[in-house]
Amino acid sequence: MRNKEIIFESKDLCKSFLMTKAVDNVSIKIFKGEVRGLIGENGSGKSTLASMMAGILKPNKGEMFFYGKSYDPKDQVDAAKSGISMMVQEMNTIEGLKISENIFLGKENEFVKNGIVNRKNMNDKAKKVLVEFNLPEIQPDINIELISFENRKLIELAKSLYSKPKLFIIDEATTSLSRKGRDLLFEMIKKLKKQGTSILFITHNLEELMKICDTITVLRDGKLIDTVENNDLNEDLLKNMMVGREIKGDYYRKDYDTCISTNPVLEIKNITIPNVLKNISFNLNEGEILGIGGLAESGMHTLGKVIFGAKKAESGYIKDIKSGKQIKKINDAISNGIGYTSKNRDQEGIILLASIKDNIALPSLEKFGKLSFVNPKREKDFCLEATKKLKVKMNSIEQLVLYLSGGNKQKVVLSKWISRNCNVLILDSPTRGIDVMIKASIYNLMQKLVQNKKSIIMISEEILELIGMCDRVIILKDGEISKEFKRSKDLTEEKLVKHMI
Amino acid sequence: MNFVSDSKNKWGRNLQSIVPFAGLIIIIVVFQIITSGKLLSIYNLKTILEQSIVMIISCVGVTFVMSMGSIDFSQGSVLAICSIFGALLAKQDPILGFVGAMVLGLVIGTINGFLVSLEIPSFIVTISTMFVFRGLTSYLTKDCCLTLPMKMAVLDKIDFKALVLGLILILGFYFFEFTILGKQCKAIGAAEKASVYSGVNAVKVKIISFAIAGLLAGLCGMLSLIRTRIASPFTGNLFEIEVFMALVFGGMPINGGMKSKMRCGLFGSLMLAFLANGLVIMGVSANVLQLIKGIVFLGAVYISIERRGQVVIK
Amino acid sequence: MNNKIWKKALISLSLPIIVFVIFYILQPSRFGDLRSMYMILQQAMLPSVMAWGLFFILTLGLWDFSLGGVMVLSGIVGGIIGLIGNAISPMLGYILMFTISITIGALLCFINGIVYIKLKIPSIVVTIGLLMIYEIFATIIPGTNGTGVSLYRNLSMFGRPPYNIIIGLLSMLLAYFLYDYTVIGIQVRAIGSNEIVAKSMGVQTEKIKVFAFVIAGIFVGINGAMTLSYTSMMIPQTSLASLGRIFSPVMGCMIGIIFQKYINPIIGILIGEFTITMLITGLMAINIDATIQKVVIGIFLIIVSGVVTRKRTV
Repeated sequence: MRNKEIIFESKDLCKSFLMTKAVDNVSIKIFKGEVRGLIGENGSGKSTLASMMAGILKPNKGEMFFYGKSYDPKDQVDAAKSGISMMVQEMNTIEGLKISENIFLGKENEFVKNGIVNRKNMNDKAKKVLVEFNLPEIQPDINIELISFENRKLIELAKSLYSKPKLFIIDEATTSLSRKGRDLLFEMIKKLKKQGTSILFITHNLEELMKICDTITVLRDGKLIDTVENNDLNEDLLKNMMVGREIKGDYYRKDYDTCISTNPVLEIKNITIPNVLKNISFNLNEGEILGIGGLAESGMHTLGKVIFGAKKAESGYIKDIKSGKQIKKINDAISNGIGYTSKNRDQEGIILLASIKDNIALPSLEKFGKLSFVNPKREKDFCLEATKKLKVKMNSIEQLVLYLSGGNKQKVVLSKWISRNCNVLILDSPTRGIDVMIKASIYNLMQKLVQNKKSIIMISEEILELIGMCDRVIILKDGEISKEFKRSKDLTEEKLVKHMI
Repeated sequence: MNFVSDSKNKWGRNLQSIVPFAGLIIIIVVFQIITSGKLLSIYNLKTILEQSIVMIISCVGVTFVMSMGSIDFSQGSVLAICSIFGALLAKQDPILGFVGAMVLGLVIGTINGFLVSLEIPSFIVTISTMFVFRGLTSYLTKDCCLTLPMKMAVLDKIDFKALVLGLILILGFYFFEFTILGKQCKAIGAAEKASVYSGVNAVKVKIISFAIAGLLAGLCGMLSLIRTRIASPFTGNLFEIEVFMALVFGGMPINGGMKSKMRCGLFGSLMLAFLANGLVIMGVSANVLQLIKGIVFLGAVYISIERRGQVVIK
Repeated sequence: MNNKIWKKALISLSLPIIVFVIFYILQPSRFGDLRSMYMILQQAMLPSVMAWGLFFILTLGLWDFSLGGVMVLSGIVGGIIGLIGNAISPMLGYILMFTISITIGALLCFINGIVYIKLKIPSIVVTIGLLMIYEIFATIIPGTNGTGVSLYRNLSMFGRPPYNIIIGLLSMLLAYFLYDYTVIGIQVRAIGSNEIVAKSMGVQTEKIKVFAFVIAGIFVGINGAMTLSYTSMMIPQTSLASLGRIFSPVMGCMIGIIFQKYINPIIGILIGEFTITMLITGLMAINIDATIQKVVIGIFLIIVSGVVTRKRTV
């Protein structure tokens, strides 16, 4: 029987951001040596809850207890000292520093004698840690940016575990890991569990969750719905709890026999970037939703940038059929009616420190007056119209985009292009980090657009999304087109995944 | 991400936008009292205007540059070299002098902009340009300072200068706040990558902004020449630092972005001018003046700086 | 393996070699002999010492424009007290000159750091504002009549070889040690690369930043004493003229940063200062006017940064 000692407990924990209640009276108990899964749709409050536990955010109301004692960490460092540490999705290692320096950052004093850092000792210890994490071939003395992203993530893992936390939180950190990396992580989790460490594992991947967790807690709209033992689980039950309603086919397209015109609007021919893309050729047809799928490193995200003119290919071209012009720069794309939403929403899709209005107006400034004059009233009306169309939830159009939720930020990005009446939209991971409601509305929007003879390229790592929404799906593997699928009821995840790996 | 919360700072935000206004009024009121009314005499106001015209005009140009998050350290040397060039041409014809100075400024500014568009950091580019033209200026004025042709001295009238100032301010305000150029400058300052993905041609905008700054520096060169009657190796020395200070004083964000405003240069320059003038009337020595300027500079930036949205400060 | 080391060494020395070759070809009679190289090495030591101090601040991603003023102030005070000690014995004089200069330097830069941390305003602004204040302080030091200090050729040992080189090399060793073998060095680099992540990993960013300023102050103090020993006097400068003292160290740091992939930046900085000093000496050897030197340096800086930036983006 499992050890019933409670190591972490929260009572009616609340956290709000402006108008949104991110965490709503959550009372959770975590036991010693337990591997607890935490799931919920985007916007359910998982990351916020975890951030409060790890000392990154402070709760507005409620209490936390760690090993029975009141727990109120000042910051992340304080929490780590108490024994709770977290690994996040973003890259948390520092470039320009050596691997050994990264591992022991903040704890260098261990190797200091008389003010001098003993590099040899530091490197030796780092080597031991690397071996423990199945990375024996890596030299600790080199700069960290020289190794692969996956290995950097694993080193981050090593660093987080070096301080021997009692509660270790993993927040969606598995997305950048390959199969090998994930297996290593799971090995680590099993080892930690034996040593009595508790793990809180946050992920979207239900399969992983059920493989490794003892119990699973489900959050929805900031509230704790239930905590279920693994044995009592099945996927549908979980999904039901996460979304609160029958979700089978609820937000994807329901049609299967729509005839797609064979008028090409975009020609992509022989696109090649050494080591990234090899001879990619296909056409985008009018009124179609074309999906591009694959693993994160398959080159599909780069392909999206190339089609938009944001990245240059060594050879090959992109041609807009209607105008006959080639797309070589971003401005070519935009003037030919092509829009693009990037996977890196906060760096490439939107200007955080600018208002909703300024963001939407930016690509369309020439519309607001003659001779580069920008009529403020026309600008404002135009943008208000755009936000109404997409139902952006905001306080005012002058509000900084910074304060919007992920879903609303994405709506602003889309408004930018839709207000220009773009004929082609390239959407890269359009529903990443977005809550269910807005996800559904985006799918709805996509359908409306293609009904109006617009064309969409959807690049996504979520296979279900591709199967559910696209007329055709092209799978990329290692930079090449590995297979093309047509929309059909019989399409399954396995069929697609087979061609990705 | 732990950005400074919005809700806390509503008062703070309104306060920040009034600071340049309020600061100016406070300085004027305080010194008017201290100097028993001498500050706002017609004669004195004329002097203040004279002293700040060149700075305000330069600020107009640098506003475009700073709003993109760049910096222009070459303003002073461009001013100097253009005044030399202008003086030479003015011997033939005064108008030619003006045009020539401004064209030279435009050319140098364009070169600055071009180099910056190659992704060389703007402070390196403009410091280098500063070196080049400071050196040239010293070389050309080594043996004798260049003097202003007599016929141009007739332009040393306040009406003419006020007219030029007014014109530049209106044009500057219009182009920065109401045209595509200004909006794109601010966007680049706020987030260059995202702006480029929204269709902003960063290369073009950078070149144009630096060109404007250069053009106006050239104009300043002629105005400075008219005022001081000579061009010497010290003309415009460290002028760019004063311009920078005036802009920051007036509320210009150091990294540019959406909160950049054309009025920052105007208010900052006026505040500095009134402050310096008031202190001089009080009989304060040049050294004490510098000391006070330094302290006030730090204080003003402390009050007016936009800390919202900044996780890490500089 | 050996090839790689040769390649790295060659690239890091490419700049000085190129400059050397150019001037050697142009004027073999007056340039290129061992004696003048030795002279250049000595002269390069002065800005190098300041550059090493400045480097810690630049690595953090911050600026310190006040170092010129700090140097003057620390040098003057060090000189005065050194002279007093010298009356008793030269040994005491030297000890006092250096320790006082270093202490004042560290103290002033400590103030820089604290003001920056507490006021939460950009380091450019803080250090320019404080520079204005420090410059004035240098004019009101008791016992100097506002004209600084003169050693009348006393305490000049460190202005002559080999002592100037020895102290320069000792400073370099100190910088090397601090940068690579102390916790401060590691954490300064961490903060400079990614402050947010560094903080979340337990680096006490505020404390480290202040420390880095103090380290810079120590080097500036050493530089002050060295300069005083060499020139035998130190005069206060106002109107931000002491800004000029920082340009050479900044350029040396740039070169050190640029080549840090190939060679340790501390050594790279010395190579950079050596190159710049060689450039200036070479220009003099071929009879180029002092004013044109500035022009050449400006162009040189643009070319180097342009080449390096292109390399990095490709």
